[in-house]
Amino acid sequence: MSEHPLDRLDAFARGESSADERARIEEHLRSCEGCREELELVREGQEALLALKAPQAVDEEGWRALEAALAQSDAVRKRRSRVVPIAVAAAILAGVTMLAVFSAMSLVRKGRVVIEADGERSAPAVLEPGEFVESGDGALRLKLGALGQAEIGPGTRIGRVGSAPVPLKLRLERGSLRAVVSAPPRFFIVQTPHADAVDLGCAYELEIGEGGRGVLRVDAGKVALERAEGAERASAWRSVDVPAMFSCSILPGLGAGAPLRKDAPESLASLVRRAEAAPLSLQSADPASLLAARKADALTLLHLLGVVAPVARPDIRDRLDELVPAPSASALDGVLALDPPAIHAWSREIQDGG
Amino acid sequence: MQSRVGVGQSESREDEAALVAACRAGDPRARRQLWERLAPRVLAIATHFHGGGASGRAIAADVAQEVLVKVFTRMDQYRGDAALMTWVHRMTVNACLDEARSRRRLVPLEAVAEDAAPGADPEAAAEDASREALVRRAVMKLPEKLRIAVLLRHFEDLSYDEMAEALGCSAGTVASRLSRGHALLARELRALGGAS
Repeated sequence: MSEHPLDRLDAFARGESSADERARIEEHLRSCEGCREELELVREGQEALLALKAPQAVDEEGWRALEAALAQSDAVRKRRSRVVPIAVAAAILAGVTMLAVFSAMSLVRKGRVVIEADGERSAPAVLEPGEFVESGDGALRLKLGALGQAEIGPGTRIGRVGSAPVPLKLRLERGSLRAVVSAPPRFFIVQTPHADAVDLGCAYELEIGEGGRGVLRVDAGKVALERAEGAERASAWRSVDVPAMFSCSILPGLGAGAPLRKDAPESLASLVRRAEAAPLSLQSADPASLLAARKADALTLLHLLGVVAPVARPDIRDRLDELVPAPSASALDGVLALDPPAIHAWSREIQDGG
Repeated sequence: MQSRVGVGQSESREDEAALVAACRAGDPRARRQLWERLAPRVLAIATHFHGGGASGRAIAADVAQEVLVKVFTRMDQYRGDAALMTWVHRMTVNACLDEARSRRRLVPLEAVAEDAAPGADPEAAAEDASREALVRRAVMKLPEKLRIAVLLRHFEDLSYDEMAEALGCSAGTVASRLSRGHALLARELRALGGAS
């Protein structure tokens, strides 16, 4: 053998060469120090890989994300099959398949968060899980795959949490974010220090200041403000649904405050601000402010119950009952104790039009 | 040389065909069973192709998910003339190489106090000193085509013909990539101070 058998050393090292090949290589190695050294390197490389551990078993979140992607893919196939005459079904089957795959792939690609606009950066960058970016004096735009996009204001620190494409999670430490999302509910979540904003299909703005105190303003759709993981909350319910035209404070120690309509009467807005300035401390709600509340402000009154001291709740509850009657006697009593089923039942009553 | 047999390699082609048929029919239990077989294997290759650390695991999770979605949504296209895993391997290889190509077009994001990020790997400091971390770094220095070849060979223990199918090249090219890849890995490891 005159040529160096460098390309065959991997098989030789594994004992997978044929008998003839093995004999030829062994003869070559007897007189070629270079190839003996190369063989040693190949063996070292093979052995080194034994140090690599296989990852932990895949988790349920991965399975749920796959199920969601497959459900979307199946839905696309069914929609297409309903409108296509049988006679041409075969002809477009490839197209349906590709569309279904594309839809499913879009769902997976929703996991890629790209920082698209930055005055100092000439090319897009991917925001990886665990990474944070700060906007400084400028502004950023985050492309959330096919979910939508978010505009990030100056002085913002925001990062990506977790690696699953669904739900896509960002963490807003401070600053502002304006999101426009077109995805199924709960596909996009923004964590803040004291509350998680769970997208329910909407456009909204989120501002977080010092100490994690902030405000959520919903322009379209609805956002659920849920208690941040690990955050204590005095009231029992976990989620405050904030619909369009409402804003809601995010409060340390309490999570969500009381949602307030954009056009709420000033006296009611003032009452909410006083209550939120010292959560669970306000001893009474002045009658004038309660009287100013309209049926459209019922949601505010319901959630204000969780922001004031217990002694202030009966008057607020009674005014709420005048505007939108309690769905049941148990709800009427239960809300005074912030009983979650009572709160949820009355919330549904309000949002269904009372 | 330790042989690494992946999960499911001992199943017969008949078992595999039955499982695929059930998945095509939309059987949720069959889908779950197939996912449990495929996901760890796809994830192992994707994880170490992307460096295996916290960031690499995150990228690998996306890539693995992409592959698995394709497997299940394109099940109708699997003809059964090759083993299912050959088909899956091919998609895994392509997804890893595509991801690497797309990342080359992006500007790396400057780290902004990453060690303060909530998602930072709490074991990173301990890992840094480990043999595995050194090997991961050396693997990441390999050119992508050599890297995917050595990882596929290591985790899946494929023959040269099976490798050729997965990589879309000849068996001779497989032999060359594996020999060069392992030798280069050892050189990189020596340079990092991690020779065994």
